[in-house]
Amino acid sequence: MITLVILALVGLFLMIAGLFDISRKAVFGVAMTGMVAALAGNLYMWDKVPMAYFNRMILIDNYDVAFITAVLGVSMFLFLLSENYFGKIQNYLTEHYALYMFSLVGMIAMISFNNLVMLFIGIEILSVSLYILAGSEKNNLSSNEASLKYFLMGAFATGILLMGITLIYGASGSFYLSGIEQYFTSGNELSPIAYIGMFLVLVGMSFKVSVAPFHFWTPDVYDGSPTFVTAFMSTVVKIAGFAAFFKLFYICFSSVIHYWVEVVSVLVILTVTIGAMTAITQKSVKRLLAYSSVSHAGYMLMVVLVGADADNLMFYVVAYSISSIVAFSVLMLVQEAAGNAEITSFEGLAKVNPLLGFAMTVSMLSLAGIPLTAGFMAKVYILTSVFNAGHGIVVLVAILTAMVGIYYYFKVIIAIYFKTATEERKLFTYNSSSLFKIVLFIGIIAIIVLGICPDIIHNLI
Amino acid sequence: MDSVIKIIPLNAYIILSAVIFCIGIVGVLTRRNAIIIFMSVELMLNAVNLLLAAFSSYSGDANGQVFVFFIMAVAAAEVAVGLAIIVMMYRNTGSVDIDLLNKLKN
Repeated sequence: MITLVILALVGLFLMIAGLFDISRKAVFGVAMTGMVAALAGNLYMWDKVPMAYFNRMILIDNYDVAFITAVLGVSMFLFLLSENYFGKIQNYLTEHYALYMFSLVGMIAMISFNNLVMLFIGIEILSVSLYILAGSEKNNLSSNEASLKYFLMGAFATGILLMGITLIYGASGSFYLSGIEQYFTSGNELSPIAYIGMFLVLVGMSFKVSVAPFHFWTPDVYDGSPTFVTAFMSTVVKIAGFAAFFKLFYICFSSVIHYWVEVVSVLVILTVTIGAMTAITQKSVKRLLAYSSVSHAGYMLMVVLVGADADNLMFYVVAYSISSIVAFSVLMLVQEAAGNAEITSFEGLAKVNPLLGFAMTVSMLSLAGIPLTAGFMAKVYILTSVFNAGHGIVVLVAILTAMVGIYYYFKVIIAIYFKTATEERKLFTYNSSSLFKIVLFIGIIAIIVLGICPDIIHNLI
Repeated sequence: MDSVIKIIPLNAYIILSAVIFCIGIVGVLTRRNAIIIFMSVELMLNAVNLLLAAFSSYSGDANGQVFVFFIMAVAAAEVAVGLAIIVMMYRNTGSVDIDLLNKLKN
């Protein structure tokens, strides 16, 4: 809980600090210090007896500590790359930082919830901050459009989720996870509104984590938002969303798994297929990464489908987040130099700037799931557990679409290594600080190390 | 208060809420004006509020009614942000029609 309080206070402090004239470095320092302190407070909870706070609305055990660590670690990693992004913001700089802090507060609430009220509040704190961040480039029409679409779809999904929560409350008489679990395991005949509630909750959560067929807002929102916000949404937010999704279904609904397992397996098949098929035709790397995040959501949903092995989910989100962040950081630099995110802007990158070319290649290999990278091991773990649970068709479809995935990820690699840059593009300077290089370096090493000895993170929870 | 609510059977509340909720969903899916879509979302939230109050009275458990306050507070925050986004959109395009939002599709 100390994590939650620290981040909320840092957010409030930053909003007030906006009144005074504070240097950019100081603001960045305060935000980073706050996150480090929150992470320390969180790690202190590791391997303790599960602690309950706020009238048992929040319950923190090892599962929550692990996912909160992932969320905070990945966002700190991302913040180290934020120099160019925050450097361009002229007005309301501290408010931007405060919004990131508040969205982290929301994520922590939704990861460690023990009561559906807390889940709802966490999702809303997170979403409302993100609506603003998506539209933070006020004069850019695509950013406006992304923000409005995200807002309308997000509010709609919230309505559906709330109806689901209400119907479950009506049937079970409790908002607490333990009360709902008791109702579903009691063996009495379940009320029909409990089933409807369960499916509405499934739909609402699928909207939030962009699972097909409820993913249609994702490409537009990810494409239109500022690239840094897109990186934040497709990594950190996804970790929190799936942590909540898995926890809810694992604790509450696993005793009636036979009612929803087929629905979820159809969702998985649709998500991996649609994500891969629509990514093929994309010409913009940003949009390609958006579709790839949809198909990766399918893999994460497989853990919900199996209904066990939180370790696999943990490993997958970490591997996916690191690979994505490396890809997005190269994309940010290329986009700044070339002015657009098209694949053609990456042509000949290996000759002009070998480090960026190599980093992008490693991250693409990891996202595609080529052996010796973290992405490969993550896929192996998940597909093995899905196969053992008896969903052979899901595994088959996943492997076929992963092959399609290799095609479009390699399109970027081919552009980097085998095409030559135009004369004009050879003169681009990629504005990367030494901090940037260090982070890219750590990212590349982490991808390879996790691919060779995955046990560092796997089997932790 | 309980007795007044309980004059009407619980199923009537469920049906009424479901109807209002469906009107909201149809509104979101068919209307093209951002503000009307937004109003439809509010309709969905209010259907939920009504149902929560009914469930809560019938089971004699105050938790549901407390949750209604949370939903109202969060919905108010969402209205503030949402209208700001719509105003920002209107300033840049001079319209709140969501069919104009097709720049990213191409």
